[in-house]
Amino acid sequence: MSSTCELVQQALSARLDGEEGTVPGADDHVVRCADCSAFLEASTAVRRELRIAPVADVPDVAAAVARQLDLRRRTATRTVLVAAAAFLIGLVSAATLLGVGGSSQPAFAGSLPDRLLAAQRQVETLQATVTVTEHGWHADVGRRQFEGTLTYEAPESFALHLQDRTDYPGPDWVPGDIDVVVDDDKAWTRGVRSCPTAALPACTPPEARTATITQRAPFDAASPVPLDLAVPAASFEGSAAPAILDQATIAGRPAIAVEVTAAQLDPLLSAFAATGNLRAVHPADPVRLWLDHESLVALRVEVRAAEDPERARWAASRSYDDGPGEPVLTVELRDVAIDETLPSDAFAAAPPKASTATDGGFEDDAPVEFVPAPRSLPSGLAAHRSGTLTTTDGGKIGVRTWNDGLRWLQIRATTDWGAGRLFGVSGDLVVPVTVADGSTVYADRATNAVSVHADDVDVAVSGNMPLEDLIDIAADLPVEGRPVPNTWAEAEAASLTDARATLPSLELPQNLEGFGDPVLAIDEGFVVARYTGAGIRSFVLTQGPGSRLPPPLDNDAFTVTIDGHQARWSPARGELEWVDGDRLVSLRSTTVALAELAVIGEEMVPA
Amino acid sequence: MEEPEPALVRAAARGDVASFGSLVRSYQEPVLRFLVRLVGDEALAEDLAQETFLRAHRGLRGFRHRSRFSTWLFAIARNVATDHYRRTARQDRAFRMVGAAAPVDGPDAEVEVQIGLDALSPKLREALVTIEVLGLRYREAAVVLGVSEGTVKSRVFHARRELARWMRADDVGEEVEER
Repeated sequence: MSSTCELVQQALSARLDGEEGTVPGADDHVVRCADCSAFLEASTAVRRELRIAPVADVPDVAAAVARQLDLRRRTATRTVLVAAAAFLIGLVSAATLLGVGGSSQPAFAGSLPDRLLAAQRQVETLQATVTVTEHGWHADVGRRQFEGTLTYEAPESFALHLQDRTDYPGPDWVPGDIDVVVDDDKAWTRGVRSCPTAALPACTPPEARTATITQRAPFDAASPVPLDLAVPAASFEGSAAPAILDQATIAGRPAIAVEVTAAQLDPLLSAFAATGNLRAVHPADPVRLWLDHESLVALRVEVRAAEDPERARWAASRSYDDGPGEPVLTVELRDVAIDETLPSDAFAAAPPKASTATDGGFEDDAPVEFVPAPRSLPSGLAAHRSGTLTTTDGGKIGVRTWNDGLRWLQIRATTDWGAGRLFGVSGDLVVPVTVADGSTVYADRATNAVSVHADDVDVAVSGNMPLEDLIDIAADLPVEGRPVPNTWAEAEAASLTDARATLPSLELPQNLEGFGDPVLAIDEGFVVARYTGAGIRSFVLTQGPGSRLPPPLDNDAFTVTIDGHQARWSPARGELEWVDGDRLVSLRSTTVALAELAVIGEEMVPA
Repeated sequence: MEEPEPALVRAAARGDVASFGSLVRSYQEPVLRFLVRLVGDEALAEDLAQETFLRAHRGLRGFRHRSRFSTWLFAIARNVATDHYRRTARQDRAFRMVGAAAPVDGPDAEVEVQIGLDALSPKLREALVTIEVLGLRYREAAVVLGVSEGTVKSRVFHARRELARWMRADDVGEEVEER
């Protein structure tokens, strides 16, 4: 081809694409030149085919993608985010405003977790009938059905009575009735002992177990009121806001549905796990939660079996008769009455005589002097019970509490703390926080509490509000928080700078929604980052030098691909491990499924 | 090609399922056409289109509006196709091309063009397909392909020249047969 032809064809090509392409005399040349006219003809033919020829039938890629994303979402709730919730709630509330004509309900700008925090201040009483349907507990029983009542009065009066209506296949089966009653300074429970499914029905003792507590301390962690059964605020504390998936009328009330995992909803589901012999659910099981649109009371909870092989293995190891995607546990409220006056005997049902009582050790009294109160309380909180708790070893702890509907705050203090660790918090998730006046407080992500170590007093602040709010309250106390002595375990918390210095190639996940900042620790050259989310969702990310994985500890381990690396998944350990250059990486969790860990692994960037 | 409302992209990036669904529906047709021409196989292109949108879903939060949404999305589609080619062996491709080259009802222009495209080197093919199927300007195609504008121009030209030669040779072949 001549250089003229080359120039002309280049110009033709550019001109076809609407770009600059002029060669003097080009058009005349094309007419005369067979090569150039063939080029133009072929190029035009190709264009005709490529631009015009459509794909015969455009398949519905959108539907396929939606299915894929839905599958991911079932196991990885963090892909379900804020916007839809805000949008839909905005829509719903606008409709409500129009419907009721100038109700004082505010326009909802915030996300669902924030709305739940606000909602728990609004509920004073709740009454409903409850139906619990359980599937897969035992192959011979099919499903069990429980019916009863739920009564609640803010802040700490609660009664759940469930009668087992199941038609059992024989007389050996013991009905699993459940009673849980808490009324401020007393509490009692009654339920049959839980047994391994494989040993049913023989291992269930015919007599139900009972437990009674007297002199119960306010907001006692050992006999908690399952507040999330009313408004599931704790289940969404620190979570990414889920999308509103659906709207419907549930129990005669306008309701919205969100989807979360059983791990996240643990504060609610544990209400049924503490007493009686209801089956366990897997932490990764998807849960559709229907919330009353106006009050955000949980009206209906539908737990289904997660659809993955590990879930099936888990069920098999417990002899549960579960099918993937099948219902596991459904809790339904009906005849719901919110903020109506309760009958005077709502919590009066007496515990059975045979019950042996445990002394909770709490004396209600005037506020103890050495318990500091914040200079200014969050609005709405009013004084609730106060007094002195005598511990089993004779120590004295002063307690003050406040509440606003379901929301509560507790400050405990002691002047003779000699345990060599922080008061009121414990574990690996405690981090120091320097607050505005320069004093140091210690925040515990695990128990949602803040500890202050001052010269002559040790103080613990806890409550069902965001940890950041508790830190503000602790900072506002008239005591000066000191860093703990070097010999205390909490003195070992590491900073990101320490972690980077230990492992320069350190990476941490970015865009991690639904989990707080990690708590870092350094352990023999390895950097350990502990993450916690809503409910009991958590994972541990460990990184250190190394170019080969240690030998597998799990016979069922298999290989998956994470960010282009071959990674080993050990289902029994819930551990995902891989090598990235000269760095060993491990993600470990018992409450976050492989699919979500894989997404976390893929989003790691240099720290 | 029309750009989506920035608000729609932002909503999808924040995780709004309905907004993302609407983005997929707006772009599934061009993405699919683009991929069909890149890989020459409709069923495979459908799989790759799904993968494209799933990757886009993961990456949306990182989309910073520095480029247009459409070019960003087509760049993902192009990377998905490239990754696919890296995975599949050369023999597989050769086999698939032979399969495609056996039209039932005699040669028609569409099959002919696709065979011609398949015969191009991947770099030339993707340049031509980006320009022709998507109707992008060189400047935009440069973003999709991750090369300079000048490279796009030159690759498109060379692709057309090879196709023109290939089609002429084909014509000559037919003439020989007719004699």
